[in-house]
This record gives sequence, structure tokens and C-alpha cells, in this order.
Amino acid sequence: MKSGPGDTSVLSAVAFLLAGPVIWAAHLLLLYGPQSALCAFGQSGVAEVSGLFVTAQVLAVTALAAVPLVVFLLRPITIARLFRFRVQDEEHPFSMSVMRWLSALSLMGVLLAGAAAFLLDPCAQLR
Amino acid sequence: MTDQVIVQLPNSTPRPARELEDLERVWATPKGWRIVTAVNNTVVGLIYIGVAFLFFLMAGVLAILMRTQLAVSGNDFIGQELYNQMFTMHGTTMMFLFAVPAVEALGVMLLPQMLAARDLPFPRLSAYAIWAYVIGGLVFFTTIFYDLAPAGGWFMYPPLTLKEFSPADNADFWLLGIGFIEISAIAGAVEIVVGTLRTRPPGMSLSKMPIFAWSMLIFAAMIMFAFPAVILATMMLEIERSFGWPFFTAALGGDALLWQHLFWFFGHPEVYIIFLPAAGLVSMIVPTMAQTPLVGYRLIVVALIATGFFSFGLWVHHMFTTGIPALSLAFFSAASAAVAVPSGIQVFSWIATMAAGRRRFRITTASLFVLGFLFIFTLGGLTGVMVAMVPFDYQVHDTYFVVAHFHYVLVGGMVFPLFATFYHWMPLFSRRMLSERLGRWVFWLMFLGFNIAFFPMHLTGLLGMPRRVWTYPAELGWDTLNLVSTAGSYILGAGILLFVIDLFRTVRPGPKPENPWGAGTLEWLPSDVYATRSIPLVTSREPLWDQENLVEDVQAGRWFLPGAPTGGRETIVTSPVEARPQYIIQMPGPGWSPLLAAMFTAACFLLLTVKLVMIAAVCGVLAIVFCLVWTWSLDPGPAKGSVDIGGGMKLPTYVTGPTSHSWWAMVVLMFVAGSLYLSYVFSYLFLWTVSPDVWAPAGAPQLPSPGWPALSALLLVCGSAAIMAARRLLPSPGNLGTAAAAAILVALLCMSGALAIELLGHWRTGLQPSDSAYGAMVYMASVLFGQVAAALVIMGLFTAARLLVRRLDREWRVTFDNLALLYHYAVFQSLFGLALVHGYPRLVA
Repeated sequence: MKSGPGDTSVLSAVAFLLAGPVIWAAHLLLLYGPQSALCAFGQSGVAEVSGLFVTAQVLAVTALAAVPLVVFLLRPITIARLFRFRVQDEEHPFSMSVMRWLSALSLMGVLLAGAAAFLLDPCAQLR
Repeated sequence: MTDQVIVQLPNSTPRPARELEDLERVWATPKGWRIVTAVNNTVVGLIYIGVAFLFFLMAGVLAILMRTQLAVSGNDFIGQELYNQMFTMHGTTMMFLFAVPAVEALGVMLLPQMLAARDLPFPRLSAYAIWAYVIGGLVFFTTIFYDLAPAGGWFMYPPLTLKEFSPADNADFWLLGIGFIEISAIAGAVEIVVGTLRTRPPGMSLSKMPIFAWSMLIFAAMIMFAFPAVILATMMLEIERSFGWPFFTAALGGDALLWQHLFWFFGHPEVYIIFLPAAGLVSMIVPTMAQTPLVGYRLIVVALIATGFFSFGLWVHHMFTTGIPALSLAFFSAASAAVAVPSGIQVFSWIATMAAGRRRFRITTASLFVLGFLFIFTLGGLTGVMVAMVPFDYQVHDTYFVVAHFHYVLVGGMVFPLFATFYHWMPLFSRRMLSERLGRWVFWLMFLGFNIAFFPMHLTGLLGMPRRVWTYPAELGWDTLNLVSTAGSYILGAGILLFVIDLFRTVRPGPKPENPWGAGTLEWLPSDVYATRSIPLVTSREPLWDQENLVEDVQAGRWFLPGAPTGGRETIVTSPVEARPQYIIQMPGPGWSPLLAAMFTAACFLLLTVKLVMIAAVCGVLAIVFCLVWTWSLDPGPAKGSVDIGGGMKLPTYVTGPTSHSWWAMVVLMFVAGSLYLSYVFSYLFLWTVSPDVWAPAGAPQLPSPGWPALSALLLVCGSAAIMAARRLLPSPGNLGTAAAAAILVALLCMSGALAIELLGHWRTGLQPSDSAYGAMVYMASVLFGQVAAALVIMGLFTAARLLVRRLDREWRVTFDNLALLYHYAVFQSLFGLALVHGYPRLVA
């Protein structure tokens, strides 16, 4: 057992483990914020908003979010290096596995949300 | 601190007799009526859980009265107004006064035991949070007896709750009372985050942490980010009710939907805030009863983190019928479906663990409650997926189907695991265990009663019965189903009553039976008021199963910290990821100040509700005074040097900067403040999107000229520079810090000046906060700025006072580090606020 501060930084650990969910959160923010604002402007007449533009924005943001998530899944060690996340050997499989699973779930969330753009009118209301 | 390698047991035996005497003396619980000054987690945790359970019983009585009213059509057992107050108090009490406090209480009680820590790192903060909750909660609940209880539903939607439609003080009790209790919950969350990450035993890395500790860590992190949204919402609604700032009034550019966004950004994660710790408890009980390690530990950790994260992306699924565009709804519908996956992972993991057991899954009362939880929660989850689908939600929104769904989720997901916990962990706190024979009666009455009460509600909902109606006409055909539901509620109540009888009959504080279930985790080590005799090195997730002679070695004091080397209360602080010992934390003992501070804080909030402003202000000042009295002794300084914790390992008793637990607590608080501010930014942009016509420059007076925000920003930057100068001017040990104190005072003046200039600039343009939603949002930025500035002024004067009495210097400096951290954060937040309020309208103009 060693004492002393020679431990990986908690910031690195959080950034590495939560990289996938953070991308998912950013994706939701970038989908919902601009889409709802653009639709609100279109309805209030502040600006003319093309439905195609809104759909394209949703798909672009989804593609943009999916790429890093796939990289997280395939190259977790590279991401660990990027975030300077280093742990003892016995901790390594745990951290890698948690990070990859979280990225996989996040990818599922991103694709599910983004797929809606293929199915629905971008600004139609249900009532 | 140098790296030291410990080979096996660090201490030899027999230990000096004085060691144990020291531990008992230092950790002694105050006797008699002085028990209220206790801060030990075992004492305050028991008070906490006891009061939370009392609220559960009281809110349960309200539920039974409401069910009695609904048993037959056209009933007049309870009047409409009282019924409105009852369902509001039932929901509010269950969510705010029972569910969150109960799981927080379990964290306070069980976490230190599971982590073999002597206590959580901020025992007085725990005591303060608990007493504030007890006093504030009890006074809040009594409003139901005086016709003063809120009646707007537990979510208090405006415009119903605006002054125009709810003119009496009832809604204010909710806004100020609950806002205050949320602050208490945040204080508990700070304790749990820092406690879980920093007071684990040596060797208990993240991958060896008990699942309950993981779930409490995520629970507390979720509180940090979810609760600020509703705190901001309650502030804004109370300000609108009291001063007429129109955040939610459509005619002046406000929007009632803003409340819904903020409330549900808190309200949906709240469901998981309640569920995740309960799931953590189940993940501890199932392996014990199956006598095998949890199947899929990693996946459970993944599921907990993912659920915590995804739960923040679901808030709009409570707003499907508000007219938001269909595509937006689809994003949240997708997130609602996605969150079912991690929940499913946990359910399958528990079933797999039961199947993989070394022997047949042991059926105890706790196991029965776990099985009942699995059945009920899974049904609730399935109806959750149904209401996550927009077309179905349109049909059942605001009907009894939704009432059935969330009771299946919350009672199944939290109450049943809580009862399992009572039966499973009671031996830690009582020398007699709860009766297994009566326990089975309790379970079956509760299980059958619950399903008889709530399953028919799915049908009454599908038949169109709306929520919150106090009665209904006979011809609608809802009578039989309602009567069955009422009968079920009585059976459920009988089960809970039987539990209470058993509780009073058998539970007696005292030495516990030794590990009656054969569990593998550290809370079952022999313990006393000082927790375990020594703190072990942990090498597996179930150390009691895997580490030979662990119980004997810990009890004999062969592991770390077998005594009280500093002569006071202390525990080991370890690194957050790999749990390497870093230093010894010195903790305060019993005292009156947390109790008195809590009493006066509660009095301040409650008196504001009834508009006794002067007396409330006096109470507020007294609360601050007692907080300062308590914090004065919290920074003990480096005088004790390093101490030997065993095996020649010497650890310092004082550290500063990012290693210090106090620095961590301040960072957690900054996250809370940041989250509150982000909620404000969202509100600003949301209202601008809704009503750009009331925004400057076209719809409101011209913005102040750029010189005003520039001067304000300059003062803020100068303040930061003054704090940096104060750091350099800190005296050497034993010297007076007049120069550093002066620099701090300059920084405080800069901060106050920046706020005054910001306010004056807007005031001179003729903009009034009550003019429009724009005016309200502009001045709200200054309210938030002022809040942080007020905290900094108090902290700054406190720090300066310590400098002037030689209790702060270059080495003894935790207080200063915290001030500096918060100051720089406040400057960053305020500069951002200036850019938003002055830059954004110009940008979009």
C-alpha cells in the first residue's frame, strides 16, 4: 500500500469516464436549443425559418456527436492518454469497460434522438 | 508526503490500553438532553431517518384520508379546499420531506460504516442540515392544521400560484419552506460527495467501492445539478408574488412554461435521485442473501452513472401536452426510452445474482421486500415506457393512469427497498432485530395493499378520471374501482402500522448482533461510538468474505489509526480514485452552534413567509453569527504536524489547496452556484425567445452606455487582483496579517462597488424590474450577483478577522484558500453576467 498524492487526477478520471455522456448531453442541448428557438422565431414571425434547415441542423449535430462516440468505443486507450488518465493495472479494465459502456449507451441515445428528424415535421405542433 | 509501502498488518498487538480509552473518550456521545448537540453520524443519522419516517407516516395519513374521500362518488367527507391542501401536502411531504431526506439519512448513517471511516468529513454541516430540515419541515407540515397549507399541487404551477389566483400566504409557505429545505439537502450532498470520494479506507479504489457508495455519490452529484434549478424557480416565483417582477406573467412578457421547465429539470432527476440510492441498497442486499458477489458490478456502475446522466434529459416528458413542437418532444421521448436500458441492466443483474448464488437465495423479510420491489418497480418502469410515448401520453396525461404509474415507480422503487433496508441493516443500530415473523405479515399486507390500491388506478385513468379531483359523479362508472383502491390503501396502511408496532416493540439501541446475514462489506465489522477500532486496508469488494481474519485484526487494532493520535476526532483521508492515504482530517466534536444556526435559519425563512420581515432579519443575522461561531474552530492549523497511523506510515494532520477536503467542499459548492446561474441563463434566453418584443433596445429603455458595465468589470478584475495580492501578503506563521486583511477589504469593496454600479446603471435608464419580463431578468442577474457578493463579504470579514488574531498565515490558510476560490468564481460568473445582460440584447438587436 502506498501513501502520498501519486494518484490520477480526479478531473482526468471524471473527464475520461464521463466523456460519452457529456457528448450525449451536448448533443441534446444542441438539438433542442436551436431547433426550438428556430421554430419559435418562425411561428412569431421574427425570422423566416426553413424546415429543411432545421432538419439538416438536427442531422448534422447528430453526425457530429456520433463520430467521437464511435472513437471512444474503438480507441479508449487513446482517449485515456488524451485526458492523462492513468491508473494502476488492476484498475485499468474497470475504467476502460465503464467508459466504453457509457459511450455505447450515449451513442444509442444520440442516434435515437437524431433519428426523429427523418420521421417528423421539424416545427409542427401536435395541437 | 513520501511514498511508503506497507507490508501486511501495520500494527502489532497487544495495543496500549490507553488507545481504546482515548477513542471512547474522544468519540463519546453526549448524554441526556445534550444529545441534541451530538454530531456523530450514528446519532444525527438516526434522528434524520426517524423524522423522515415520521413525515412518511403523516403524509400516509393524508393519503388514507384522501382515499376515504374518493371511496364513493359524491362524497363530502372532506371539503374541496382542504382536499386541495391535502394532495399538495401529501406530494410535497413525500417528495421533499420524506424521500430525499430518507435516502440522505441512510447515506449519513451507512456510508461511514461501509467505508470504515470514523465519520463523514463535515459532521457539523450534517448536524446543521438535519436540524434545519427537522425544524423547518415540522413547522411547514403543521400548516395543514391552520388552513395555511399550499394548495397548488406539489409542482405549484403558475399562473395558479401567482398572487392573483392564490392571494393568501399558503403558496409562500411552500416556496420559502421548500426552498429552504432544498438548501439543507444540498448541504447533505456536499457532505456525501466529499465523504465518498475522500474518506474511503486505504485500498478501496473506485472499482472496489460498495455499490451503495457509488449510488450515493451519483445521488449527491445529481442533487448538485438538479436542485439549483428549482431553487431559482422558487426564488423567482416568490419574488413575483412579493414584488411583482413578472417572470411568469404572459401579459408582461413572462411565461408560465418557464416554471415548468425549471421545475421539471429538477423534478425528473428527482425521481432517480430517490431511486438510485434505493437501487444501491438492493445491490447490497441481493449478494448477501445469495452469498455471492454481485453479477455485473461494472455494468451496475455503468447503469447508475448512465441513469443519473440521462435523467437530466427527460424533463420535457412531463410537458408533452404544452404545445412544444413534435420534433422537440421526440428528442425527450428518445431519452425517456434510453433511460429504460440502464434500469433494465440493474434488474437483470439482480436476477442473475440471485440465480448465481452459492446456495439458494435466502428468503428473509428484507429479501421479500426486494422481490416486491422488483415486481412493482418493473411494472412501473413498463408504464413509464408507455407514457414516454407522446401519443399515449396525450391520452393519459393528468389522469389516474399517471398517478398509478408514478406510485409504482416511487413506492416500488424507493419505499419497498427502504423497508428492506430497515430489516436488513437494523442490527447495526439495535441490539434486537425486527421480528421476521411479523415482518412477513408486514410485507404481504404492504405488497397486496399496494397493488390493490394502485393497480385499479390504471383503469380509472384509462376510463378518464382526472387527477386531483376531490369527488366525482356516480354516472361515470368509477365507483367500484375507487372503492377497491380505497380498500387497498387501508390494507397498505395496516401493514405499515404493524411495522411501527414492531419497531416500538423490539428496537433497542445497543451493541449489535455480529453480522447476522453473513454479509461481505465493512459496515458489518464490529464497531462502537468511534466506528471500527482500526481502519483496514481493503483488497476486494467483499473484504469480509475475502480477507482472512479481517474482523479480528480490525478489532484488535492491528490496522491503521487504532487510536486518536491527535487527541481529537479524526479519520484518514485518501485519494479519490485509488484511495491512497493522504492525510488525517481533524474533525469537530459536539456543539450547540449547528443546532442554534439551524433554528435561526428556519425561523428566518418561516417568518419571512408571514411577512414578519424585521424579526426574520434578526433571526437571519443570528443564524450567520452561529455559523461563524461554529466555523471559527474548524480550521485547526498545522500545529499537530504529522502522526503515525501504523506501520511507520506518517501522515500530515493539515493540508491546504486541492488536496484538502475543505477545498473540495468549496468546489462542490461552486458547482451548485454555477448550476443555479446556468438555470438563470436558460431562463433569460427562454423568455427572450418567448417575448423578444419586450427586450431592449426596442421593447424597453435603452441599455446603460457601455461605460457602466466596463467600470463594473474593471472593479471585478481589480478585486481578483487584490485577492491575489492578499495571497502574497499572507504573513509568516505567528505574525499579524494586517496587509493581507487590508487587501481582502479592498477586494470586498471592489465586489460591492461592481454590484452597485451595475444596479445604478440600469436604474438610471428608467428600467424597473416590474415593467416586463426583461426588466425582471436584468435585475434578477443582480440578485444572483448580490447573493454571492453577500456570502463573500461575510467570508471576507471572517478571513480578515482571523488574520488579525494570528489564526491565519502562509501555512495555516484553508480559510483564505476557500475565500480566494469563491471570489475568483464570483468574478467569472459576474463577468459572464455582464456580457449576457449588456451584450446579448445589443448582439441580437
